[in-house]
Amino acid sequence: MEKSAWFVWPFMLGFMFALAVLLLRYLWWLRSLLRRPSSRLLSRMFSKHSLLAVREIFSEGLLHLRIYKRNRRLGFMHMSLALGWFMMIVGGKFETWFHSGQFLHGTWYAVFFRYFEPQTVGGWAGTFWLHYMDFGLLLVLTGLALAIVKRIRKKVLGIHSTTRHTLVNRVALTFLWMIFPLRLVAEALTFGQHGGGGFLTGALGRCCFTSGTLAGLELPFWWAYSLSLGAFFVVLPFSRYLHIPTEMVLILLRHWGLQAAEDLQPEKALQAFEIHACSSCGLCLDVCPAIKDHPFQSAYFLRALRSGKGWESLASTCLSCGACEEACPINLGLEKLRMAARGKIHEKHHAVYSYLPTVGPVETSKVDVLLFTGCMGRLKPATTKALKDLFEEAGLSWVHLDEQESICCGRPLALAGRASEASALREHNRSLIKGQQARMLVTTCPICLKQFRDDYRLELPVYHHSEVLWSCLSSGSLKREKGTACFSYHDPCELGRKSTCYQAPRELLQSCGTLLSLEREQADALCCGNSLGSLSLSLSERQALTSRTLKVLEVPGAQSIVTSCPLCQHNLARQSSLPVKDLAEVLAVTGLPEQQGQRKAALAAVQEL
Amino acid sequence: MRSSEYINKDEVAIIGGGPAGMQTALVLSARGFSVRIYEQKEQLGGHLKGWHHLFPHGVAASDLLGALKEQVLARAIPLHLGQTVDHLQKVGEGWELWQGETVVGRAGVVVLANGFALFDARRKEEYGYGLYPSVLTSADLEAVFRKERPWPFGPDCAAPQIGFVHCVGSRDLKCGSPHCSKLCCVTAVKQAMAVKAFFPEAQVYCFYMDLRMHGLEYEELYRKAQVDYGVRFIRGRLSEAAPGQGKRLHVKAEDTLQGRPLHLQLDMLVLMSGMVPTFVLEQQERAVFFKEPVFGSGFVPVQGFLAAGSVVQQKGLFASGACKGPATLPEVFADAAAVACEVEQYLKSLKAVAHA
Repeated sequence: MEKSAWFVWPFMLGFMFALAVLLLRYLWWLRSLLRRPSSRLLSRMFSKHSLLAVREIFSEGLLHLRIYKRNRRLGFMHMSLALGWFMMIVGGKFETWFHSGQFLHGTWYAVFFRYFEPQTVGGWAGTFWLHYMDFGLLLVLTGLALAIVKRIRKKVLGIHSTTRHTLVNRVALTFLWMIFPLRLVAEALTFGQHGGGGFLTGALGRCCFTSGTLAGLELPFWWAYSLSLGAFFVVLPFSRYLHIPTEMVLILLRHWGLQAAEDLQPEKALQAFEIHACSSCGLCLDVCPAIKDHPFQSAYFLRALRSGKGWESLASTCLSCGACEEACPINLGLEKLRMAARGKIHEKHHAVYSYLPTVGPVETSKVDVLLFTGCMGRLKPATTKALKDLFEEAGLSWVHLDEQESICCGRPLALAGRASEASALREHNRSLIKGQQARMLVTTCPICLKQFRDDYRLELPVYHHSEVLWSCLSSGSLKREKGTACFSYHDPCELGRKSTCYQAPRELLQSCGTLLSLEREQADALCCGNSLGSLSLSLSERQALTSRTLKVLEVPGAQSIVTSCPLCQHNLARQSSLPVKDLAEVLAVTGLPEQQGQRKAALAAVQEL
Repeated sequence: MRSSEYINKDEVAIIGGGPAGMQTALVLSARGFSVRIYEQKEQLGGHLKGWHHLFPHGVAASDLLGALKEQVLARAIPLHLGQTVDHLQKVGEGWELWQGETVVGRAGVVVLANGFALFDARRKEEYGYGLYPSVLTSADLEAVFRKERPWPFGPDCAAPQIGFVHCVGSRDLKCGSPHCSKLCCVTAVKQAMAVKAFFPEAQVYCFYMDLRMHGLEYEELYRKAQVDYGVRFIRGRLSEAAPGQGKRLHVKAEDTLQGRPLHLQLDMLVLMSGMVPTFVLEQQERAVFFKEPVFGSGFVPVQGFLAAGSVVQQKGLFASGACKGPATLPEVFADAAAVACEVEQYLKSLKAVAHA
């Protein structure tokens, strides 16, 4: 190598360093898999799953389609940075191959190719590669410009919050931002002095850098370019930019059937890749209902897990409303991770449930519905009463499993990360449920619903009461006529995002009145503020959340707020100026055909007079 | 432009014809001021109308109310019964009293004596008020004593099991009522004793957080309830009331002193509803609106020391009695007299300025 080309060394050293650290970290994370590779993983490795993984890497790692779907400007920013850089890496390889006829070169050769081969050679194909590479660079620079705008004026990119970064991340960010403008200037200088170049670098060189006095600047700029690249690579494995390679490996591992552990192991297997694949893109921030109160959002939680410091409070304060998991562009299992972290916090605490066997079974009979109203149902006896009336009306027979005494479904403990205690409760409830002969289990509480569906392995189907009531309406066993009432509907986190039940409650309300549309609903709905998910959020913070949620619900024209979770109802009703009802209560009293019939008859009688 | 000349600066308008309003009017009238009472109901008396007898001595509420009304009539204080006032407009130094689009009165000074409202016990749905007929509020029980409504259990029930729940909508941050309503403790004691007097065989339980027997002779009454009447005081909150055997209620609670859960079958459950504001002041430039209270609304804020009557930021607007916060009858009477003196001072200071 000639003496002038020594400038490639900073890049080479940084690159080799990053590669070595990455390799070591990945091997460490995969240690258990390497020791005992599962046959499932091996069989999936050589199957279509790998191709599917590559497709996802392309659509999410490069094109960032999920971000694009949520927010076009932000998606374009991510896409232009990733795709542009990727284009340059691939193009660089082909260009050097084309020019030298050799496929293999030192890594530095393609990176600093323009310095070594400033003249355009090779006719139309050479010209193509020149312009192609310039296009890649332009794409990256566009993304960079947007990223800078995002830091200064985030609203331009359609977001309200950006992640606050730590020092190492800010250093990495600075180096990354320097790389591409330096490359542009270095190439333009070379082209200005020696001629040639594509539509961007060549044009810039011809218009600004032809003067002989600037010749001395050429090499320093190539040095600066190499230094910033090298520095970036040195900090990469210790910054959020580790997400770039990690996300790709994560996608592969997922497609190969690997699942995250139930307990917290931030330096092991899939969990390690999930934690390090987070780019802190910040999409979890804007959707978080508590963004104004607490910096516990997933981007910060994962960062704390990476550093090993402060994750405990972030894990336990979060409301577990699931909005961030819904928004995460790389589908990280955030809820599961949070529960694993909570489990770690409570590792040493154990509760005893020796009193449980005293809760006796309810008398058995063959019925349609086994009703379970749960602990929260006890706060809302009116809902239970209304539902029983509706069952009666629809001709459904029922047994109320927890009418007198009850055992918690286990979900609050599961949300607190106390998996073994939750399973102790589940065992007891399971045996009580098994002692019954019913066609289905129906619960008024979405918190119980989630637990019954996901963790009970029951032999009978489990429904939320809204689903049963809707099927009664569709089959005609319940009849309602559309009244004049106007409702706004609050989607409970546990029923909506966690159980994807959005339609049944809406159909029910539309059958007996008018359902108003809201600024944030369905998957974007806000948490009521009283989620069992948070273990440490203070009352005043919760009340602030509730009043924000109520602002969304109290739309003009709404006569009442309707929800389908006893806990949400209980909480919203305390602070709301509008009445807050459960679906069953609304359905039990509104739009009864006979009532309307009576009203019509009364009206007719008055008119006759 | 209206001139302030048509307002009689010496006249005092009192909004509210309960004990606070009547007493303020009586003291001012006795000291030579011209006063008027604006009461939204058709009768004077406020909450006192609904009481049967009063703690600690068991004086009949109607006797006290009768005496007050008699004095009001004797002094020929003009009454505007059935008259709601929904906002005040400042004109010069005085006020206009408005309902909707109509001026219903004018005065140099306005005294708010709108009192309090009872916490809506339906908000604690787990206690079943409005769902189960045997769940009553303390006000409902007074109505039973006054024979305005029947006992919620049949005449065959000679030894009813009865529970009182203290602090329903008081000292409850989650309900937006952080304050202590202070008179429910002794009211429950009084009512428990009265119930025992009606049904000597009854078993009466009071579920409390802690008992605040601050007033004169309250503590003695509490002791009497335990020793002479056998009322059982259980420290612990009720967790829920549900339908029980027959027409009874199944009540779950915790005895926190013994550290054990309790299950009871009750014939009647009485909720000691706390005191909450009836309105919240919305102060605009030269106008004061009385608005529906929202979650967390407080009582009327007064200037300086708590015993004072001058409403924050409003010259010539005073507040008297329980609209400033929970108060017992003796406290209301004392406060009303104090506020009347403050009003007098204010009117005199205006005159002094005018002479100068």
